Amino acid sequence: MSTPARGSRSRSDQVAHVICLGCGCACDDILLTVRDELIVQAEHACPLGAAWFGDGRVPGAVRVHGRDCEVDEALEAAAALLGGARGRLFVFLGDELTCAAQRLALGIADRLGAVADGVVSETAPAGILAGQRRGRAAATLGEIRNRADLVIYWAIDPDQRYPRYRSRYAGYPSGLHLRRGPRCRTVISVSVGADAGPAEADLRLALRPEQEVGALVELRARLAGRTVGEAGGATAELTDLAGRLTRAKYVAIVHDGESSLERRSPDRTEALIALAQALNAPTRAALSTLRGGGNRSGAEAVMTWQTGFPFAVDFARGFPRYQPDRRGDELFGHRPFAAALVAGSPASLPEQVRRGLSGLPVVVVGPRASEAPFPVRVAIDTGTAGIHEAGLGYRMDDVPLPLQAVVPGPRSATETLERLWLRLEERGR
Amino acid sequence: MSAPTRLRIVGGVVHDPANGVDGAVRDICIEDGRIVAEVPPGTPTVNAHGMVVMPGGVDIHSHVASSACNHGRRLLPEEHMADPAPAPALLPGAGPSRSGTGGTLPSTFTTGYRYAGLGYTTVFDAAVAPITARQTHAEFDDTPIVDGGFFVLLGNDEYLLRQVDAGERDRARDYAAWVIGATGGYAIKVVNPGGIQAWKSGQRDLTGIDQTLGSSRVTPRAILETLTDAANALGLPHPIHIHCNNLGVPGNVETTLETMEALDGRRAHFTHMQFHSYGKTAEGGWSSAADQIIEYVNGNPLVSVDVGQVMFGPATTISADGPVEYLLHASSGRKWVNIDVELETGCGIVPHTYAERAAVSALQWAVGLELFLLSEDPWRVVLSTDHPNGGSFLSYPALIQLLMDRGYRDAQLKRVNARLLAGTALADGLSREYTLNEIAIVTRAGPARLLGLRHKGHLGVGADADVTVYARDPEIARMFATPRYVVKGGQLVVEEGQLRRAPGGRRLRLSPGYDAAALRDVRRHFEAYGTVAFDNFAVRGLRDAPLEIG
Amino acid sequence: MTAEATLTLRAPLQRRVDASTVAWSALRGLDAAGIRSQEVWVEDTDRSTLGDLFEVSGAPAPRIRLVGDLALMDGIGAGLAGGELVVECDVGRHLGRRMSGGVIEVKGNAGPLAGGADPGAKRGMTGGEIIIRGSAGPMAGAGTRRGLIVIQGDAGEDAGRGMIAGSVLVFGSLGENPGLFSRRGSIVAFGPHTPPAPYRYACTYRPPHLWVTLRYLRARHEVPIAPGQLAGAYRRYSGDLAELGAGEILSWIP
Repeated sequence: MSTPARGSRSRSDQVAHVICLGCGCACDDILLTVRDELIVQAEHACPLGAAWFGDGRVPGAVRVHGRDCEVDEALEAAAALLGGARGRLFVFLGDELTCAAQRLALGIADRLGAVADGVVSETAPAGILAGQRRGRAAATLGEIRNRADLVIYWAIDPDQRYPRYRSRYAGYPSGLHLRRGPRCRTVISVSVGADAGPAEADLRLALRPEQEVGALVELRARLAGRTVGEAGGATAELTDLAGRLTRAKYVAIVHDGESSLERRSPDRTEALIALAQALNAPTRAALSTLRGGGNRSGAEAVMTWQTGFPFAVDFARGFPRYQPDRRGDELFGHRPFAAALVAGSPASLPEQVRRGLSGLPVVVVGPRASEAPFPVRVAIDTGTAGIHEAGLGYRMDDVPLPLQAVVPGPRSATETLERLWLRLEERGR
Repeated sequence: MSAPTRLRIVGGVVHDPANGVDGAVRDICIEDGRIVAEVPPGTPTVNAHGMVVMPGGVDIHSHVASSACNHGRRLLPEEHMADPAPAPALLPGAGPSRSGTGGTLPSTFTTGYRYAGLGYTTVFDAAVAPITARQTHAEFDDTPIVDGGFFVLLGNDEYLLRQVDAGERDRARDYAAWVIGATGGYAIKVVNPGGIQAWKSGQRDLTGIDQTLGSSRVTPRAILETLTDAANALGLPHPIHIHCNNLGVPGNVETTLETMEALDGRRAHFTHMQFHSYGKTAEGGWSSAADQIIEYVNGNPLVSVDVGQVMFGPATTISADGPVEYLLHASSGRKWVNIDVELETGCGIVPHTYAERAAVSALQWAVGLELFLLSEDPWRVVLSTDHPNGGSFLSYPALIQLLMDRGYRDAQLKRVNARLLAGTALADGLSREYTLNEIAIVTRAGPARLLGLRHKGHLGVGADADVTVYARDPEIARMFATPRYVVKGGQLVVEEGQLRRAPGGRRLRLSPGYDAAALRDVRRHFEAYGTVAFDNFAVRGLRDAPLEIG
Repeated sequence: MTAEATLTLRAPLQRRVDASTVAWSALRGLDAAGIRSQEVWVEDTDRSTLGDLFEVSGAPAPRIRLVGDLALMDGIGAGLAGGELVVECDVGRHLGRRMSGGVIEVKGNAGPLAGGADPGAKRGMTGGEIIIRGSAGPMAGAGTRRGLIVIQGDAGEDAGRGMIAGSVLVFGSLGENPGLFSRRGSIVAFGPHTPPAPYRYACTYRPPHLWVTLRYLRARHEVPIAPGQLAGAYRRYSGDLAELGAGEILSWIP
């Protein structure tokens, strides 16, 4: 089959090599068929991808106090609300924006002295903080595809939330440095409590949640020539596993960077990071951290390069301050904000933030702003990154990718946020 | 008020070594971003009487805008918390006034402001993995004032190594040309040729330049020859930019000299030479071999180097050289990031502190100074700290004082751990003091010439109007840390020592020609092994046209 | 010069105050006006001063006493390098942040991260002594490089996490995972606790250095030490075995 060139519209209205942000895999081989400005087919897309693209229709409403109006009026209302607010402001970088739009939203937070945060603050802080203590041994996904002869899934079956991870990055071997054939890649599946690894595996191991950190530490202690013994549990299996890990040429440890387990125990991620690092003494190893889609990895990258911090940034004193332990109830509990700007899809707002913003005047600029599941003062619907808006977006492994605009949508989020920025500037904010 | 399109810098003492001007009093005239011979009466003026006027600084080797830098930023919240950078008080409408944080890897806006605040107006990021190039462009978009470009990593690229293995040098050249154009890069960078590929493959004994990579015929020598010839055949303005094998290892002087000799008769730039100029004592310990290296450099006019000076204090080692960073982590126990980058390269990051009382730090400091002080041609031995590897770019003024002021240097020499310094030229006493003209060469005219930037690094008619004006100060470090005026592209960005404007910088990039037929094979390679489609690889929609080659 | 300067809270705190901007180490050299002018931040947004919040008397003095409920005040004693700080009631998070010397005594409870490390920082406190008469929140003494933390009540989870050296003594109960990821350092546990997985039982003995420390605490800081604690036996657990393995949890056998 010959594929149409990227971005081209052949007579059959096919657009090739479209990047899907349905999850963090950011598959870039999606072939979309577009008819009458609607997406009618998404070839190669998984169910999450099909849902991500849908038919490409999004609302294009602009509302103030629930009343339809022109964009200018809405922007004026938003600028008056945010620029005139007496008290702290909150800016949330939600999903489904290009990095260009995220950069502007963060710029607005800087100018207004707001608290800025993103989705990862809710879903992945433990892993980020552990990474800041220890660093990490990682790889881009192609390296796992091309090199990993042992893949260990730690309490995650990617097929559910990252459906094409295995086939694109770690599945049937097609790697440059791997022999062909089904036997050259060993798959180990570790289940922790209800968080099961894949059913198909060369070796399966089940741990109770309270055994998890102990098992990880036990494995690492063995690399250092020590045994912990009595406390670790599942000793025979761990001995076998430690042997397999050190005999492999390149180990990929796959874990879910956005799982509910992250919140239960900050220690498990740190133990995983430490194990992946330590494996680089006897062999080579990388930790593959599965992250969600919607370009939330992009939001983290932008926050990091503009402020030096990946999330939970407070600009109140005129410069970015890192407040990773002032999130959720800690953040909203003590003193209410005066107003908030949600840039991006309001559906991506974590429950805690949504609760924190209840009763506040909120401006939402982003895809489906008018359908926000909470009361909104100013709603401006925009296009979605990678469907209606082209620009920079990120895969879960921090590889930057070129998002395309495939069908026409409502006004651009980037342009709308830029106009908001200019209006705030006119107001001297 | 918008910035004037014309400007006259009046009465300064001009150091413009590229045009043979060494301390002459003359006016510098500027119109529409360029140096011109004359401007009409009534043109706004800058009073530079008694002050020192130089072209804007040009950093030939730094790490400021890349995916790797951002991994480093994310790793170092403690540094950023300790160095807040409030937004500068710019004139209204004079560019984005944004806050940020500093430390060894500052946030992007802060990077731009601080470079400009030092009088530097052009900066090259020395190591960008092609697959991450679009992030470098995005970060440069948020790095105001400075003109920016970058070097693309090719010395461990799987496709390139295959061509080397097959002896397909033309194909390798076409591939290199395509990668530069597709990523918006400026030059070819080689880091530890073959060594990163070896590290990723579990081979840890690649130490000689004639050793083969695994079972292939690829050797570091073959990689170097192929890419050096490619860069020169393509007529790239900057030759190949080489980070040799065995960085930071005692006795690596042998590898470094072997590498230089392997490329004898070819134009080549060797970077952060300090880290590659170590001898080994009979007991296997460290010693300085700066004299051997600089002797070779002095005698070979096609060779150029930047020094990669070590400055005492906090640093962050950040490099595509993954195996070196692993060794540093294993020996220091500091936190460590490693990212293996598919098909292309690696990335390692480890924070590091150079301490006066540490013998190895002191030796590294001395080796760098020896390279500077024994250099016979400042045009080919230029200033860098390999920011932030040997120290932050903010330490350039202190480095300049070390070079210009023997008393200052000797006082510091007395404080450092001298255990490994016995018999070094520096310990024996080097009296040389750099002149202002030599400083102008090693910080702007020389790097610009080595980079082939004909409009940078000088103040002749037609040059970009990037000018720095320093008020004289007996404390040299203070003088160079706080220029009185900085002009970038004709706009006065620093006035009376205060940052007042922050226009966006230009992108310095190339688009060399290649045989388009060669791309068919590249596409097959991407389809077989890549996870980013060939059609999604090239960075599109870049601002600023590519510079002309030739 | 008097022996003690007293800072008395004018009105109960309604909002969180970040006091890590105060030059705590310099306070003992300042007169009342100097102390009053020290900057604090209310709810991160409003610049304020110690003088706005406290009545100050008796300055300058080598010992500083804080009176009033400071459970909403974070960063008390930040950067302390010498001198003595006494807090009569509760304190908020990050007591003794980046502390390198001197003594802090808290008569009430302390919030999270007492003596603990900043995000990304390798080290927590690098010297000095923190005595908490009540209980401490999570991560007390995380990353301690040197120095001593005594918690007479309970300690939250992750006490002494990632210690590099130094000692954390807890007389009440210990939360989950004390000493996880520690390279060296001692955690002494007098109350209920469970050594985490990477700690292994080594021996039961009467550690002589502990005897010295406990006698010192009783004499210098009036920490009540039972005779059995002085003379008794302790189980020693070595760990974290996945790190250097040179740390210990000393578990008192009542």
